Amino acid sequence: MKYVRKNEPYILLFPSFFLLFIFLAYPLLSSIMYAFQSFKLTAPNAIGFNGIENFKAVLTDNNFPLIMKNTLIWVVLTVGAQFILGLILALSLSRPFPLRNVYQAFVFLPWAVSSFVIGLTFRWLFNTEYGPVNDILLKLGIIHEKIYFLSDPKMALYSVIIAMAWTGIPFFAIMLLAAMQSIPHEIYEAAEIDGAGIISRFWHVTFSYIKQTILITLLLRTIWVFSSAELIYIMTTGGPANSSNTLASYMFMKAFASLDYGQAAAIGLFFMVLLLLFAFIFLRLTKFEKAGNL
Amino acid sequence: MNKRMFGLLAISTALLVTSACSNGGSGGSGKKIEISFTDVAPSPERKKFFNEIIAEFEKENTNIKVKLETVPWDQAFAKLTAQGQSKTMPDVVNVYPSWLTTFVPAGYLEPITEQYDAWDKKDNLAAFVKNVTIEKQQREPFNDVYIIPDGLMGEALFIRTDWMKEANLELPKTWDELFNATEKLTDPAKNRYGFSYRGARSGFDQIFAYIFSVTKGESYEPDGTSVLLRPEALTAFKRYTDIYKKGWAPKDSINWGYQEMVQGFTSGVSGMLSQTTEVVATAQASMKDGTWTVIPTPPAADGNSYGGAGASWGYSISKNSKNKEAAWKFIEFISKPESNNKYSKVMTLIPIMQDSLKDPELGQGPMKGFIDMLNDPKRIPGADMGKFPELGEFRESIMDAEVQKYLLGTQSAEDTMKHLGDFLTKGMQKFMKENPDYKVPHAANYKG
Amino acid sequence: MNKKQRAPIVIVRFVVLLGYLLMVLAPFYWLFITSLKPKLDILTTNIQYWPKHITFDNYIYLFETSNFHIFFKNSIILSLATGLFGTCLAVLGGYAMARFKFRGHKLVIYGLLLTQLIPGVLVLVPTIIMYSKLGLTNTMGGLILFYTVGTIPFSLILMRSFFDRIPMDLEEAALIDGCNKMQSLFKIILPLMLPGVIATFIFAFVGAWNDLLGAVMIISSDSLKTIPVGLNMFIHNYDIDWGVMTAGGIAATVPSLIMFAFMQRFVVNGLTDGAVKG
Repeated sequence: MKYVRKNEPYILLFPSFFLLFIFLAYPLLSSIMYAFQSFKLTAPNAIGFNGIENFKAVLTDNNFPLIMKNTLIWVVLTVGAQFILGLILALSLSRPFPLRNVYQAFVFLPWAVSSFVIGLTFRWLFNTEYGPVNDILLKLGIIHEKIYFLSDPKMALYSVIIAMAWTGIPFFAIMLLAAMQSIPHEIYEAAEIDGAGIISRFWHVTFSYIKQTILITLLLRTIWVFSSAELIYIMTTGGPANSSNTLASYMFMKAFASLDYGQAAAIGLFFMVLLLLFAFIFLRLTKFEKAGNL
Repeated sequence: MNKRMFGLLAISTALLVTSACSNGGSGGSGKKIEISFTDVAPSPERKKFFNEIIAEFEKENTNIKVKLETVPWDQAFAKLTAQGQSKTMPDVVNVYPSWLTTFVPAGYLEPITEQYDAWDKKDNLAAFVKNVTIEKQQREPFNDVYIIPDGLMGEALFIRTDWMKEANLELPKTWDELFNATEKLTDPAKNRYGFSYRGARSGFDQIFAYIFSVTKGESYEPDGTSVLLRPEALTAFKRYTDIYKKGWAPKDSINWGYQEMVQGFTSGVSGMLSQTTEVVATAQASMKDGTWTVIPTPPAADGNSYGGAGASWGYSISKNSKNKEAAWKFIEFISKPESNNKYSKVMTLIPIMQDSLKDPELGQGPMKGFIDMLNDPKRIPGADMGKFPELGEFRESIMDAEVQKYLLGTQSAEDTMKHLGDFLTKGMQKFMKENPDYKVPHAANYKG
Repeated sequence: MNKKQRAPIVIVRFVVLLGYLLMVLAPFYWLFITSLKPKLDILTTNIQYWPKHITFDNYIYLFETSNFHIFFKNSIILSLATGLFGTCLAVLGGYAMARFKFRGHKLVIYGLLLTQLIPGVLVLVPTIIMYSKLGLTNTMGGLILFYTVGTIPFSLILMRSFFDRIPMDLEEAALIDGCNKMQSLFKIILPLMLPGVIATFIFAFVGAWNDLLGAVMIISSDSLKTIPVGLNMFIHNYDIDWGVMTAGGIAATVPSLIMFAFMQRFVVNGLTDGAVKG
């Protein structure tokens, strides 16, 4: 049962939506307009509408297939790693142990550090000459030749993914942990009495109970990881030879390095459409709406 | 509707609005003029210097107040363009010379030609400043003067003298000797490499500096064709990139930018580094005395050297400034010999005034190499890359990625040079067609 | 559930927890020891895993020469204000979304989800241009507004799910007892939702605490700069001042650590209540 009132909900939502409209809708509209203009700050006298030229330029770029492939790898592996490791961490944290509060305060820390600090730190850790990762692996005899984490085109993207996964695990873990703790104990007890093993208990109780949380977190995370460019920009600037460039970092560089807002906006629009499609399919496939969550 | 609810709404909205406005208005106190000055390379040392200069300036000009603002170097370009676009640039900005190709056509900066021409200190400027950084690099391409250089940087060779001694090598005086030394100093087993190679973030500039030595400083043929399409440029390109291809530089250096190559040298991974003056301070702070020195970059086969030298930054006035007169006064003040001399010492830059070059403190040690180089009559500044709009894209997303493809072996040297040369030729020739008066940049001796 | 776990599970759990802690702490350890090293010892090929010459110069420089305490103060004010405003707006809006039937209900929710698809990089420059026209640049208020707007959609989605978890019966009972709707919201519902409120607050707080780009673009005066901008100033074009930057990075995590330690109980419990509904 819910209240039915004419004005109240609108009044309550007004401040939020007022701010969103003024400060988000306007810039969004102007960037959508940029997408159909030649809008290079380096050529300010040539700004004007140019139809779909920007989209053409972006989609016919020789590097575009590579960038799309990188984007897919980036999103799938990063979100996958964050999810699996976050789930394992949440499962381990779900029961009390001594000093759990302190432990949690520490493992949430990556979430509270600026991404450029994380990017620079990992760039250093992975450095081949004075980075400790190679040094330790060599000294332990695990590897015999240095790994070129950021300069080998086959490695660069994956090295950034490691850093990105590292940053994102706490968020996943918090959300999943919270959901797990809301599972009523009786359900576990019932399962125990039925003689369910640990795996079956996880699958039938834990997993099915927190499915909704998993889905919404996966959806939001996928969107955020997709549009995140900072770590890539800081660690590799998309190189070597575009081997770690994704759609988002490509857009970031178009906007902030080349100052081509027209093409940057075209990429942005293109990827918003992609995400919209993804969200739509995701919500349909998971029957999220029917479950009453939206 | 409930009163409580209204109250809450009113308060939360009011708080947002008031707090948003509390710092809003510019404090217009009386008739005092306030100008803002933005430094784009902030550090506590620089800040201290600027605050001292501002205090002196305000004492002399009691009706002017200068507000020092800063933006971190990493974001400076993006922020200034956003400010230029919204006409909120600070009154005085020290801009990076290469930004002029964006800021001038965009109309962000005010020409200061008249002020410069009438400036009483003009004749005390070092010949290089007057003839190159003002005339050749500004008045020639833009028809106006926009910046007064804060100091000069010249590229030179940082070299590990102790390694050279160990290997029984003389300091290189020619490119052949330099490449030879690069090879000899390399010993991967000891984690030593000959050269701090720059593979990313404008690494191509270093290659181009070497290509200048075979094109005699030219960037384009008279018809706008890029010199990169010349066969000798291809040979030079291959020769230089061999430093990486043959393993005389760490394999990691394909991903190195400015910071890493300097680190490579100061941390003892690489024996040579081609860099500008301000690195002297870093090297002094992080290396032992007597293990390194700075020597001039080797000349081309004809005995001339075509390397670049120029302003480190330059003070400019924004078009949207409402106090351009006061802004110029400040620039005049900060550029006068006493201020500039002090600044040059703090920043390890070459001062812009003739008299200051004679300062005994500056003519000693590593800085001497740089100053000698500027005074060298055989030094000819290379021609610039032009000012067509596609250059931004070329610099930021094309040139290094193309070279990296060659370094990684996924593209031939011929194709790499063809892609780069074609891109530049196309941009330059289009620009020449649209601007019939434009003259193709040309390398010339600045003294005559 | 039975109190005792089987031994292998305990061991596996212990190993996982320990491994994870090491993984999280390793980069922080690296930052920490770097902040204690003198400049000559920082970037060397002969890597020191414990500083040979311990020095506190970096911290002294950080607080005495570089104005870091001002950045620190600004970041605290900024993040607290953003957390406060964001949470207030989210409470109001979340309450409306969870408790009322109204036209456009779906539109509101889809609208909020849609905002998450907008790449921040794309709208940043038009936003800045708009802010400067409104005179909001280089003001703390403008920056607070900027982050508050950024945090609204996610905070609303989160807050609504917390409200959804509180049974309507509670409120109805309060109404019958003579409270009006607002009284029941503030006296009955919000105290119950305190964990959720705090969780929302922390999300907004952390967002403002970490962001670099917005703060760089909006703020110009040194007296208004935040920690990320301050740290970024140690990255020069040719050199990163690692010692001081890592000292700043370590100092910047302390408030978060304290906040997490005190509030994580609420975060976890708060999300517990909300998360089931997403």
